[in-house]
Amino acid sequence: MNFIVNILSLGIPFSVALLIASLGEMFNQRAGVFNLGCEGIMAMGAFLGMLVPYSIGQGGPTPGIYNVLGLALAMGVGALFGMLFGFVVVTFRAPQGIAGIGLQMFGVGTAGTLFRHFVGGTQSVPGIGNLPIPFLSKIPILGPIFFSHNILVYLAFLFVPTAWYILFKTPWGLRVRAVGTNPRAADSIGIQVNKVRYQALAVGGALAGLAGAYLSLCQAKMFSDEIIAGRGFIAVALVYFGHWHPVKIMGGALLFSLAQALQLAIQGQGINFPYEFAVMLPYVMVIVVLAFSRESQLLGPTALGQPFNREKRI
Amino acid sequence: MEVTHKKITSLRMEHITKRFPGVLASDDITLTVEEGEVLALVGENGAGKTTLMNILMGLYQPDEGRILINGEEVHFKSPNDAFDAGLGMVHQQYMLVPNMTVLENIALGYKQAWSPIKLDLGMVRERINEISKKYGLFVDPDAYIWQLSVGEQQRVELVKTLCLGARFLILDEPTSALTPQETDELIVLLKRMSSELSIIFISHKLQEVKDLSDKIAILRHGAMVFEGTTKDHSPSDIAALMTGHEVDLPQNDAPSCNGTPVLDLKNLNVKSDRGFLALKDLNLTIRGGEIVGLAGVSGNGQRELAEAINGLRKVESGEILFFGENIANKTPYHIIEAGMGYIPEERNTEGIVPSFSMKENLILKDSGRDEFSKHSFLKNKAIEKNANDLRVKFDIRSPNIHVAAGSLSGGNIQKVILAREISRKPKFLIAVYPIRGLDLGAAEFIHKQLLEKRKEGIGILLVSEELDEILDLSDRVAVIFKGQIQKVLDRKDANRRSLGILMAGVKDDQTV
Ligand SMILES: Nc1ncnc2c1ncn2[C@@H]1O[C@H](COP(=O)(O)OP(=O)(O)OP(=O)(O)O)[C@@H](O)[C@H]1O
Ligand SMILES: [Mg+2]
Repeated sequence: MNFIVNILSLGIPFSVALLIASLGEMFNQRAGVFNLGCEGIMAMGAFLGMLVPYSIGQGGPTPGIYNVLGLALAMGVGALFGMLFGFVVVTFRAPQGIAGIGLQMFGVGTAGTLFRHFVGGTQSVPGIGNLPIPFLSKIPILGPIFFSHNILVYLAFLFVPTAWYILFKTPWGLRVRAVGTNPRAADSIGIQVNKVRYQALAVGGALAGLAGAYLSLCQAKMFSDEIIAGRGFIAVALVYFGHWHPVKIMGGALLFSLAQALQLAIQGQGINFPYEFAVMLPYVMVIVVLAFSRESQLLGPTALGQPFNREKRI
Repeated sequence: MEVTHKKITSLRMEHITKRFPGVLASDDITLTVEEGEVLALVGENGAGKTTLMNILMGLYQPDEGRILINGEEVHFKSPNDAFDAGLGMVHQQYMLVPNMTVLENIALGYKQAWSPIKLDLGMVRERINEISKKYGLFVDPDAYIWQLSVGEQQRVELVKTLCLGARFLILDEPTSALTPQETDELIVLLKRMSSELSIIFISHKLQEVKDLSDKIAILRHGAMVFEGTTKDHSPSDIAALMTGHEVDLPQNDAPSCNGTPVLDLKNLNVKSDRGFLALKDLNLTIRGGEIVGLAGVSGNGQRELAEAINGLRKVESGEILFFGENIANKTPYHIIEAGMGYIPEERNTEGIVPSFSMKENLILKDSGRDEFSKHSFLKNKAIEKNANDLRVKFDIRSPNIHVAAGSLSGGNIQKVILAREISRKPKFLIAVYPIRGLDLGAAEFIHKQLLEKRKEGIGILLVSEELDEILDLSDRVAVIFKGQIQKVLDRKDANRRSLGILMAGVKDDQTV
């Protein structure tokens, strides 16, 4: 029992960075742009998130403010990067895959370089601590699993219904879905396709930045070059896995993270299980599930990856 | 809530010129439409009708020329500007988002229902109801677009444009996918509407043009070649002006054949996209050397039938015997190899790969054949020769054979598909609405080709809603209703009246 509670209470906070980043990526893809540069934006977010509390907030009276500033900076720069990406793939219609890989390398490289310049070596920050919810966190079993996390965990799970609402119940969500599926139709009815795509990229970038900052401020409480560790790419995969739907994406993020927690727990128990297999496990799970998931072409953004050019018929 | 725009008392396009790579799509065109007028814009496939209207809607920017509304020059940078001026257009290629509902598609343009945090779908629904009632155009607001037949989508487009409050309607071939009844209703409706709005109407069907329009403008190769009042000209006059020669649609007057059955459908059950049975124990036999016309109001299972035969839709039960072999649930590849030719209804998504060049599309089904490839390399010379030959033979209007097929005009895309399917010498041909969107000259040519194939002994299943087309070409006519064959008539027993009654679902015409 304890073992299971451990895995769950470990796996849930693990899932948060993936969840936030993939919800952002979902908006990108719903608008017809896939951003493989997610990883790079996350790296920038992770660095900037910890930089603020590290450099100016050290020992200050209200470290909380600096954490918030760090998160805000990470989101702002993330949004900026998203729009920069838009400049390349929306305005100049560059191939999205290549541009995304470029952004990933640029982001990871820049974050690492700036880190060495401004911080130097491994430095930990106090970060954002846990915020057990009064009473609820005292409930046996459920308390530790659901109600003893830091505030971003709760927020991230609130993002899920919020993202759903935005996507399916607001005019902006409607526009996003339209430009990602049939940009020509959206254009013909007066929607500015490229503008909506920029907006979606900004939202996606901001969320990727936040996801990165979560890793440095809440999870690792430090920055290192490998802090993102491929999570940006997993986030992209999770969007496909979740068929562009916030709830299914959450399912994917949880599945992946619980598998990861399980793997850690198995190791922690000292069970003689080859380490490499344990690390592979979550990835294998995603591939298997992707391979067997029913194709739902009809739901997805069919114009994904296609730049829009009004005067070109195709 | 009523959308109001300023009245458009006159609209004028002056000296409009638009060039695309290799084509002069609009060549110094000037036209005027006054309040309450209906202008019919006609011309051959690729003449530049759609292009001109796209310029008017702000979708394309003209290279030269200007647009005046009520005497004042306007600049439409995007469709939004055109909407604001009160213009609305029903496009030739439907502008609908397939994975959204009718309601959502209309909400997309209905800005009154937009508040930053909530999309007021209730308001859109009310607006749709209002328009539906006012004009007698019924749509199911909650249906997804991908579930709708082409005709239903056409109706959605019209409702959408009306909901958005257009005072000046542009209709680009609005009737090409409608049933004859729907067409008649639409014409009546448009007539009624023309008292309160101006209309530009594009059509290849000259009877409609005659019935509806006040003025007529004919385009050829991008230039305006004729302008006049409709009542002074008969449809055949107009046809002659348009094509440069008298048009004479061919008739099938050969004696009916007694070939052996080549396609035999036995107790076929097939589901529709929405999951109910679209075909119920359907039986039909087609012999070699005969044309069987499948008449019926669209949405009665025609699409499912064509897709099931071609391996594109699962057959729940029953047999499809093709030269004795059961091809039910075989792969499309297998069925194509067995000699099936198919002219699909949805030509933009099924018949061609839009981003491939025209020459590639013309060998799409034969890229592996010795004729076009050797040691798994394509034989470019042979491919180009094939494309050039077909381009001439089928009169495909394109700057060259290297352009992307998707950049061709609607009618010319259709010609590419027809050219490929007819020229690859199939053993059987399923033609679904083969002349939809084709100009008269092209329709005449295609009909001749189909009759030619028939003479060669090929069986043809012709799916159409055009009773004239069916009556002109068929040896026998099968009427489909709610997924079943109502009755099969010999040509001599079939006429507009008997078919109309059967298509409406009355089993025996004696009872009427
Ligand atoms: N966006 C585009 N890019 C390149 N060529 C184009 C484009 N739009 C139109 N054309 C070309 O311009 C010409 C006119 O096309 P248009 O679609 O206006 O014809 P149309 O009169 O509407 O024909 P149809 O009756 O077949 O619909 C054609 O040769 C077409 O290939
Ligand atoms: Mg056209």
